[in-house]
Amino acid sequence: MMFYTLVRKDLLLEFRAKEIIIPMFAFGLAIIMIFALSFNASQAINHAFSPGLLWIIILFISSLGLNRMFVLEKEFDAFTLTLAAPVDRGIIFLSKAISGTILLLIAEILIIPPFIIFMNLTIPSDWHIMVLILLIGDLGIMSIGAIVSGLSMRAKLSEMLLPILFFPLVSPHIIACVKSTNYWFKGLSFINWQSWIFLMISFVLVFFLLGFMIFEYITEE
Amino acid sequence: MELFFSKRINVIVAVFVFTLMVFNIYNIVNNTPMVPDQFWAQKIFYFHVPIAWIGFLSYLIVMIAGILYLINKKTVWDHLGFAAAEIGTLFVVLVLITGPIWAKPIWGTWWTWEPRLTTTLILFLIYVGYFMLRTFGGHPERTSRYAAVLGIVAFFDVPIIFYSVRFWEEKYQSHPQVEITKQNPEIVLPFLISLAIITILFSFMLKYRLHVLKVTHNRKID
Amino acid sequence: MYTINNIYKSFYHRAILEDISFKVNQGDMIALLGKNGIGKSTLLRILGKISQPDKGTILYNDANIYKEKAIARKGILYLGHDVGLYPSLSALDNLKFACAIHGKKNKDSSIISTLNQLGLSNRMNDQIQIFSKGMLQSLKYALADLIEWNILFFDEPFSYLDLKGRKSAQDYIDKWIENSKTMIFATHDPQWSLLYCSRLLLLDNRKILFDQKTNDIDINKIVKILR
Repeated sequence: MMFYTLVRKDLLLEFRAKEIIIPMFAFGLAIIMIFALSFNASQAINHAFSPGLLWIIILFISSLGLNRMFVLEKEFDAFTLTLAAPVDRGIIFLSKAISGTILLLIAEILIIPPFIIFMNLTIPSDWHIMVLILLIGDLGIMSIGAIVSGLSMRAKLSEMLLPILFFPLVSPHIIACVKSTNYWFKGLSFINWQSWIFLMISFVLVFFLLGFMIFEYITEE
Repeated sequence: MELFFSKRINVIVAVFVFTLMVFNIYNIVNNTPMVPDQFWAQKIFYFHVPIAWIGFLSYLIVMIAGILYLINKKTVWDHLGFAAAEIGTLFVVLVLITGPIWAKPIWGTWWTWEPRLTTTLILFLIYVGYFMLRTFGGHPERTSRYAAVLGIVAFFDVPIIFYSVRFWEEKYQSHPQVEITKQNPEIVLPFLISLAIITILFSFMLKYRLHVLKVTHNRKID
Repeated sequence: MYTINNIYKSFYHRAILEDISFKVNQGDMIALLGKNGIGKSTLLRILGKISQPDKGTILYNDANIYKEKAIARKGILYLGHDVGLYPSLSALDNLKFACAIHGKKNKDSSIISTLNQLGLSNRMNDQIQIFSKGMLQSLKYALADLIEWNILFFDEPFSYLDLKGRKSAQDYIDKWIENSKTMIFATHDPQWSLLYCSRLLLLDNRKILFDQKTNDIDINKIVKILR
């Protein structure tokens, strides 16, 4: 299937070029260091701020990753190959969103251990719930990210335009991710914060659907 | 001649709208009851809320114009979207200015993370991006299409933004807007008058902007 | 087979293409001629659905390529002026992906043998960003050889090719002509067009100046316009 071919191509591209995950990791690490050094706070304060801080880091590295993903398509005009082929534009959108999610997840797996260490955190035992939050969070980020990247890809100053469009649009989703992470971190049971997870899931559904239908209009010159 | 105000009817309507606004201000200053604890600051309510509603209506128009433009590519929809985006953003800026002016005497701070106000702020930021896209997105034939898409995406985001902020700051569930209308029925009539007049003002501004865009566009293609 | 109706395209309110219409029949070998910057590449990009026209429709086997699902475009191959492949991937990976995306499952062995024919098999696992421009151009011919297409749009078929490369390219083109394949080439070479193409389309001043069978054309007229 075309979708599988496209995702496989994106992952192979990253495997060969290594131009996305490593910069994301390096950038994330730099932000962690700056925060840890600037604030040098007690463990209690760290625990209070770390959910928000984690998602700020994820937001920034996503912005970097998205930019890189679409720059790779622009080099040598490679995107033309996919556009000229008999592939539905909506499938291109889905493949970008899903491969973006996978790459972001890998970057997060790399960045979370240093984050825990430098912020001196104690993690609740049910970490598999956090994995779920990260997964839904990343899907939401990448769905709106793929749409916005498609818009800014051909623009002048695309590195500047992407974050300006991306951050406000994704902010409600980030609020929900931070809240969910916060409640999980405090060890509260799911009933307390299920509305936030539902908000995140609605965001993912709305923008995956919208992106799939609308990508047709974004890809062409 | 292409000047908007060279047409007699437009001048007449402009004068009429101006008169209505003057009447509106007079009406609000003199004929509305004083709300205890809020006094003069509360009068901003008669501007702040209609402007907010019309601002959101404007963004709804951007979305609808965007959908229509993508369907049949007629320039008029692109112009409608752009004009509505401009006026909507102007109104939204006014909301963000009048909000703190109202908030300070009543809540004691300039800014609060009240759901409606925060949604308005985020929407304003999205539209800063919209205008940047229009400017830097490439040739106008492409940016029209991209701006249409952004207008649609932005409006789909609005309910999600509103609900996320509402869950987030639960203490701001009761906005003075809701409280006041529950209290005093004498407030409702001037409010509706103000709403009607501001809507008329908005329509007039939209018509003017559309005219300018059409003339500029025609000049560019020649 | 491929019908182009009333295509308009502008950039920054300046019209590049105005009311372009023509019909491509099966077996046509068309040369698209015109000065630099006249809109040949733009037109080909519109035909390949890379670029959207401001107005107009395109029918491929009676299906509107803007309304139908993507599968209706199977059989169209567009080779642009730029490379159109991923610099970080190898020649082999790029071709495997290109075949897969065009719906053709090709065994590695057939890809390798095509690369062999073009003299690229010893570089097939190298990232193509280190290839010379001539080698990159040869890769486009590999693509055209491996993918099954019904209509080919090729922008500047001979750019960057040395003599050996040109001979190799011409061999492929001869093979396609023999098999009565349908092709449109954007080119700067009127002599070559008259020799090999069955039909000439001359683009000038935003319109198609003429569209005639090669036999009926006077080369001096063309050269004069191209100057």
